[in-house]
Amino acid sequence: MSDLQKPAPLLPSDAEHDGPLFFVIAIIVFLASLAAISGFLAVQNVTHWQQTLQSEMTVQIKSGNMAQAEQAARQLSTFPGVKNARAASRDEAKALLEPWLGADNIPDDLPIPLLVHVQLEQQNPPDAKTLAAALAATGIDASVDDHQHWAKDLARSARAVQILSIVVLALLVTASIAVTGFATRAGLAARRDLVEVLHLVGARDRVIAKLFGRRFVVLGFKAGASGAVLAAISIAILLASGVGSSSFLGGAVRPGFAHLLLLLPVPVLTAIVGGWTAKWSVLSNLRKTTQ
Amino acid sequence: MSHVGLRYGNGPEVLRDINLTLHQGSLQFLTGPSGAGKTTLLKLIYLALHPSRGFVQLFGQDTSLASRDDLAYLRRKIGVVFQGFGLLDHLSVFENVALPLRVTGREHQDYQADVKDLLSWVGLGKVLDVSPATLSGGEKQRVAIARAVVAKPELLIADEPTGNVDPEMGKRLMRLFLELNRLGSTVLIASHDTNLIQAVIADIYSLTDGALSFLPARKKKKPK
Repeated sequence: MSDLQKPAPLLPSDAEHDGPLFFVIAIIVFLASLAAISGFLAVQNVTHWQQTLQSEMTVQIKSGNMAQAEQAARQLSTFPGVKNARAASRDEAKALLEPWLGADNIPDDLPIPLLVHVQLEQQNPPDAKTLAAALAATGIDASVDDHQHWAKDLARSARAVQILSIVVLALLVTASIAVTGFATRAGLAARRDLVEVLHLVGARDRVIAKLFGRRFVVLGFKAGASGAVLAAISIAILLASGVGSSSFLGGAVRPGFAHLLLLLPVPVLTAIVGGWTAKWSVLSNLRKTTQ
Repeated sequence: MSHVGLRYGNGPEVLRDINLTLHQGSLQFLTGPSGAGKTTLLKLIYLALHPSRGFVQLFGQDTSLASRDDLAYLRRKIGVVFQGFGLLDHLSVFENVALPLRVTGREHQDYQADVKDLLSWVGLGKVLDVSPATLSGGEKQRVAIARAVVAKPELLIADEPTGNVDPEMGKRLMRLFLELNRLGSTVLIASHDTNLIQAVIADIYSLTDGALSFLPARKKKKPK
């Protein structure tokens, strides 16, 4: 005689339905993980670029020579709130034009703007107008760019990427809930006999719902773990192959071990979503179909 | 039950103006031709259906006002032998019989001996761990009966409980019902088996075309 010491599970395994559902949820989790990591990195990178832009100003000497640029740099270095100022050499200025004109296409007699790079203190940095006025007072005709135009563009980009990531995540979570709900209803229909008998021997709705909920917690955890691992491997391969090095994924802030830690709670979250959806579907279905 | 009627959807009433009182500790038979609505009436009593009209009170509680949890607790006081047995093939005979105890949260060790004893009593002691799918109709019926009585219900409802067993086993199962009744359970048995009905002194309810009539026990024993 077999072992009667341990009660058999009331809800038998349902490989026919669970197998395909596992793959669907794993794929959804994989896509959601990629969306979450990409969105997070994009926002981190944009924030980094924004901070860099805001901690610098560029002064363009409108008319004059290198000596005037160096004089402006010396003057600005002593200005309150300025960390340092340095006149860019002609070669540095040429390097800035190379992406547009080509390395060997810049004639020596081409007038190139004289630039001064100004690094600002984080505390009480001066504004662009104050620096321009200070230079004008010493007879230097210059324009000061505080990069606000680019900083605003980046802030808009960061917000857009953030919203896009949240929308993609929300859609994927909704898809996951819908798929789990559909699978639960299919499971209920397949085990109508069990539900009826349990109901009539006095099982409370919550007990019946818990049976299905538990199954989807386990399934959700396994599928969530598989999807998250797959996403981690995919990101690692992308980075190792150098793909996207100039994109949000491969900017100043690159994905590392710390970012992969973001995927750690994914299996638990998937299990919670799966279990909750299944329980809710069963409770709702029982209320509709039984007294 | 008071002036209870039941219809499915917009169809005609399959049960009409049913007035039925099952006194605590009583034993009754429900009889009537096939299709008269016996199983439907039993379903109303064991709370598988909700009446279209009328009033149902069970163990002193108005079922129309009971919450779903309350209804579950009421069902725990009822043991049902379904006409189609209602056994779960993925569970063993032992697990099927233990189901009413398990859903109440009782520990496996607490009820194991009781369930084994009961299954031995109904002659199924050697098939504890097999699937009901492998049993004969009569054996399935005994499993269904064992499951209905295992929790010592206050109300036992049996729908054709001896339909698939031989006369000897039928008598044995009837003794089980009588013993349960003697211990205080109310018993309602729906049956076509006139031999079974005549063998026991009990009130009889007869259902014909959805209407219920009552034949008290003493009338049945009235000398001709």
